[in-house]
Amino acid sequence: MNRTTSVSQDGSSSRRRRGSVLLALFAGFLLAATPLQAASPNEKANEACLGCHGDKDMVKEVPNGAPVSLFVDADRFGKAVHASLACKSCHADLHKDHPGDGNPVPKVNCGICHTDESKIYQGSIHGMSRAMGSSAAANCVDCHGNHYIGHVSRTDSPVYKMNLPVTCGRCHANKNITDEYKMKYPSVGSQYMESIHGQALLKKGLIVAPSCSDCHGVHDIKRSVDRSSPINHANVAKTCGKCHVTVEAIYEKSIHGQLLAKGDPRGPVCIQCHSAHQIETPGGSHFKSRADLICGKCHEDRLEHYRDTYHGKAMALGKANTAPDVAACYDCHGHHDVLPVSNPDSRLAPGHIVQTCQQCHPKANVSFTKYAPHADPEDRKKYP
Amino acid sequence: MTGILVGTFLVFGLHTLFWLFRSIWLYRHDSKQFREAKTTIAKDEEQFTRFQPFERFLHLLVVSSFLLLVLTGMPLKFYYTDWAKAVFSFLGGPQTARTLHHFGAVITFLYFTLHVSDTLVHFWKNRKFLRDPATGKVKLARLWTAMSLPDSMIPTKQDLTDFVAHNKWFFGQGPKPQFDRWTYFEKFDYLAVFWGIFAIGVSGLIMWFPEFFSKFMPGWMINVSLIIHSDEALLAAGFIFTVHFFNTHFRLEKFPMDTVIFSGRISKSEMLHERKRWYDRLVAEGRLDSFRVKDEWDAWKGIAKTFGYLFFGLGVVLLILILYAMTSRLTHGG
Repeated sequence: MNRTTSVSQDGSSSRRRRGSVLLALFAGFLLAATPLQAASPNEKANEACLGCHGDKDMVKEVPNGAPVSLFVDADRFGKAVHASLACKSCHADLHKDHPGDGNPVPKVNCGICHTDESKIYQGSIHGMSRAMGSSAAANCVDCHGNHYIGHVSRTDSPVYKMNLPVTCGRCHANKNITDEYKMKYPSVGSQYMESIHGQALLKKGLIVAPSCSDCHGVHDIKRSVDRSSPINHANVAKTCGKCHVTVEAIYEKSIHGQLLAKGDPRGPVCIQCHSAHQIETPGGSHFKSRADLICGKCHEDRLEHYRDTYHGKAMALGKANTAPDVAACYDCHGHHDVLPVSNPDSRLAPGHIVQTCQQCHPKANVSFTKYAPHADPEDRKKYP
Repeated sequence: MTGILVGTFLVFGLHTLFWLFRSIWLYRHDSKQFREAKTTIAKDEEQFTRFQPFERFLHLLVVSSFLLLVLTGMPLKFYYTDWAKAVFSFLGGPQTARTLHHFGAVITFLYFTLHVSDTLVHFWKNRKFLRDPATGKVKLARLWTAMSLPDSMIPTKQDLTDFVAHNKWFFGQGPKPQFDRWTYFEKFDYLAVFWGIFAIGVSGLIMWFPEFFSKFMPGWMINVSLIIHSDEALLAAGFIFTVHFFNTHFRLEKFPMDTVIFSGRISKSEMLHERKRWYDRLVAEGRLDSFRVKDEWDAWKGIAKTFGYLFFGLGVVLLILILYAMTSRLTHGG
C-alpha cells in the first residue's frame, strides 16, 4: 500500500527544556506516538477532502439526469472497514489540481488492494460485460457500496446473505435494465421471492437457505453456457448437491444422472423439473398438476398415451392449479431415482412394482400390474 | 369395434335420412291432410294404454341415468376440448364426476335388474304356453314360437318385411306399412340398449374394481375395457341422440315429442294410423277393451309407496340423528 507523503507534521513543538531523562522519555513518548500521529496525516488529508465533500448538499450536475450527491459522511466512513484509509488510498489517480483541473474524476480501482478478487471479477460476466462497454454492468461499488462498506457478515451490508436478493435485484429485477440488456430471464427476482428458497430465506429467516451467491458464485459469476459456471448444465447437480447431498447421490445413480455422466446434453438436471428460480414444494398439488407436462417435454410419446388412460384424462381435466388424486409420472417412476425397468432397484421392477401400484390401489396384485398406463396401441411388439 | 359403430350409423343414418325425406315430402305434398291427421290424433277421445306405469317409470330411470352417465363420461373421452373442462369444472372436478358416474351406473343396473325380473315373472306366469296344446307335455321348440310372437322383442321375418316395405314407402314405391305392437326400429333400439348395458356395464365394472377383476384376469384387460367402454358409449350416445331422437322427437308427425312413453296412452286414430296390425289383433283376440285407459293408481301404487317409504324413512332417520346430536351434547357435558 503506498501512501503519499503527508503534509508536514505539527508534532514537534517547543517542549524540550527539561533534563535528558525527560528528553529520553519524551523522545520515547514521541516515537511511540508517531504511529498515532501518523494517522492524523490521513485525517488531516481527509479533512482537506471533507472540506468540500463533507457538505451535505454537494452535488454534481449530470446532463439528462438527477444530480449526483458527492457527500461523504465522515462519521459513517469512520465506522466502515476502510476507515483507516485516506481518501487518496482509493482515489489514487486524482489529478493534483482537483477540483480545479476540470478533468473527470477517474473511477476507483479496488484491485489496487483486492488483487485476487479483482482478477476473478474481470473473468466474470459482469467484469467482461463492463470491459466490453456495458456501463450498467455491476462492479464492486454496485454490490458493496463505496464509502460505508461493512463486513459481509453484518446484517446491514448489501451483500449480507439476506440482503443479497435485493442487491442483485436492483438490476436483475429492474425492468429497464432487463429490457435494455435483453436478459433472458427478466423475472428472476419475483420468481425467486415466491420460490421455496426465497420464502425460506426471507420470510422464514432460515440462514441456510440459498441466496443468489450460493448458486451463482460471488465474484466469479458466469453465464450458464460457460463450462466453468456452477450453473452450467453439467454442473447443476453438484451445485444443488451442496445442500441436497442425498438427492445428488440418488440422482447420480439414476438413469437421468447416468445419461448426464456420459456427457449426453439431453440428460435432465435439477432445473429441468424444478425450474431454476420458481422452485416450489414438490409435494404440492400445483407441482403435481404440471408434472406430466414437464416429463412430457422429453417423453412426448408417453405423454400422448398417458392421456389415453384415466390417469392422464383426469389430470388434464383437473381444476386449475390442483391435481386430482391420480398417478402422476413420478408416482410410478420415481423422481430422482428413475431407473430403467431392467434395473432391479427400479420402482417398476418386478420386485417392487406391486408396492408401487399399492400406493393408491391397496389391493393390487401381480396381475393388476399388467395394466399398461401408457400403452401405444400401434406398437404391436410391446402391446399385442 | 369401429366396424360396429360405422356400420350402425351408416345403416340407421341412411334410414333416418330417407324417412325424413319422406316426411317432408308428405308434409309438403298434402299439408292439410297431415295437419288434420295430427289434430285428430291429439283430440281423439278413445285412448288405449300402450305402456304400463311400471314401464314408464323404468324409462324415466333410463333417461335420467343415461344423461348423467354421458354428461360425466364424455368429457373424459374428449378431455382436450374446452367444453370438457367447463363441464367438469361445473360438476366439481374429476372426483365428483367420478362419483356421479358411478351413481348413474348403479341406477342403470337397477333398472336392468327390475326389467329382467319383471320379464321373468311375466314368463313364469305364462309358462303354460310351453306345453304342447295337443300332448300337454313341455316342448322346448315352443320357446322358439314364443319368441316370434308379435308381442316379443325378438326380431322376426315379419320385421324384415316391414323394413323393406317401410323403405319402399320412403321412396314412394309402396304403401305405408302398418305395424304391430313393436316396430322393427323400436326392437332394434331395445336390443341395442341390452347390448350396450352388457358391453358398457361389464367393461365399466372392470374399471371400477380393477384390483378385484385382476384376480382372475390379466391387468391389461383394464386397458381393453377402456377401449370397449369408450367406443360403445360413443355408439350408444350417438345413436340415442340422433336416430332415437329422430324417431321419437324429430319425426314431423311426432314433433316436438312423442309423449307415449311418459303418458302411456295412444289414441285410437293413431293406432289405426300406425299400428293397425296390433289393433286388429287385439280386436280378434277380444282383448281390446282391457287395453282401454282406466284409472292407473293400482299400477302406480307399488312405485309410489316405495319412494314414499324411502323418503319418509330417510326423514325419520335424519330426525333421530338430529335429536341424538342435540341431546348427546347435554349429557356429555356439552
